[in-house]
Amino acid sequence: MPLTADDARAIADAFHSAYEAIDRYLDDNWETISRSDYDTLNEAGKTLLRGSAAMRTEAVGLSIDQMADASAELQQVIGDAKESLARLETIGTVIRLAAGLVDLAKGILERNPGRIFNASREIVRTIADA
Amino acid sequence: MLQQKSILRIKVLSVLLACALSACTDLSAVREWSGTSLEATQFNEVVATYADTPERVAFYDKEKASFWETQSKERRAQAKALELQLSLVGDYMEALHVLSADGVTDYTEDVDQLTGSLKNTGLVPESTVGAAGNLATTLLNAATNAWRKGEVGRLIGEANAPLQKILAGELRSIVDEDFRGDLAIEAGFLDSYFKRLLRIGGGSETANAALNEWYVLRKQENARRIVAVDAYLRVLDKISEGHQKLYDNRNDLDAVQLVQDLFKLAKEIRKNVTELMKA
Repeated sequence: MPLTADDARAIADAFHSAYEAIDRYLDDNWETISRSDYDTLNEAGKTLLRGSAAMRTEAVGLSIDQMADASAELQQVIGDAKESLARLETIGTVIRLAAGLVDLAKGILERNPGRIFNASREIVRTIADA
Repeated sequence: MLQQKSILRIKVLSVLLACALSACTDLSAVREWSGTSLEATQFNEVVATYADTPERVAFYDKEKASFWETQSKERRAQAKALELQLSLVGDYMEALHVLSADGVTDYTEDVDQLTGSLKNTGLVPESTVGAAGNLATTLLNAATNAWRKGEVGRLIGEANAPLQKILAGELRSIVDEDFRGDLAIEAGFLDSYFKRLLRIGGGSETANAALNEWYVLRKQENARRIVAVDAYLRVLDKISEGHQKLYDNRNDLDAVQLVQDLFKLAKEIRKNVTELMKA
């Protein structure tokens, strides 16, 4: 079974806890143990820290892989957003083509609230469909 | 008198229509929150700190230089991927920010054409042409606002699931567990190195005092990096929380409570960014 990011984190934590146990032992006993024993334990502690660091790197790599699908999905949304923005910038052209403003102008010329309302409703529809 | 009445009627109608069309949309809170979130994602020093840990630690573990070199290479590649991930979130926030901004489109040209045509007919007094121009501008802005609101709501609906997976899922775990764990490893190497030198003795009192000072200094730097991780995590949590609120209210983006919450979150994010800059 392949290693997951959470597995790697659990191993990293376990290595680190083991290092902490050694560190506490050295704190409590450094005055009574020999220099050679101190160095052996200190070196063991560093080996555990290296193991923990390697597992952290592993966990980050696996997490990045696990984000791939979400990233692709988010990229798609960003693409959609950019299209929306581009559409927003051309709405004026769409409105011109749909002659919404012309109708509105006619409504105003005629001082006809009904026509003004209908023309503006058409503008909204044109924008919504753009 | 009749002319004044017709201008007034046009003005009243324009306001009523504008409100009816746009439901008086106000996306300023969405804009403020997304703009702040965009800025916050750019403070990615914590990623650089993680990538640089092997180099910092290698000094205290010289016998294993090749191990740290390998780690360093791997982490630099990871840092690029993480920075891309954060810039992706930033790109999304930027799109949301622009789309929710007022005045993103300029209808002056369109309205000028309308008023120009009206003026050319010679049938409408100057004052009525002006009122008609105002009406057209109001309507265009209202219609665009209504459309923007719909588009912003749609985008939020589509983005929430992947964004939460990144912000509240994997990225959060990386920052909270791995970056924090990594700094604990660095602290371990500092302890191992300095305590050993201080305990084996042999140095003069002055040398030991200097050594102790370095030890304290390095530990303080390590503690500041942890403060930065805490602040960055709060930023990620607030961006995630804000987007979830947007998602829950995507059909009512100017709801009073949502607006209040978003402005509050934006303010808190700014505060966290200041903490990040100080760390």
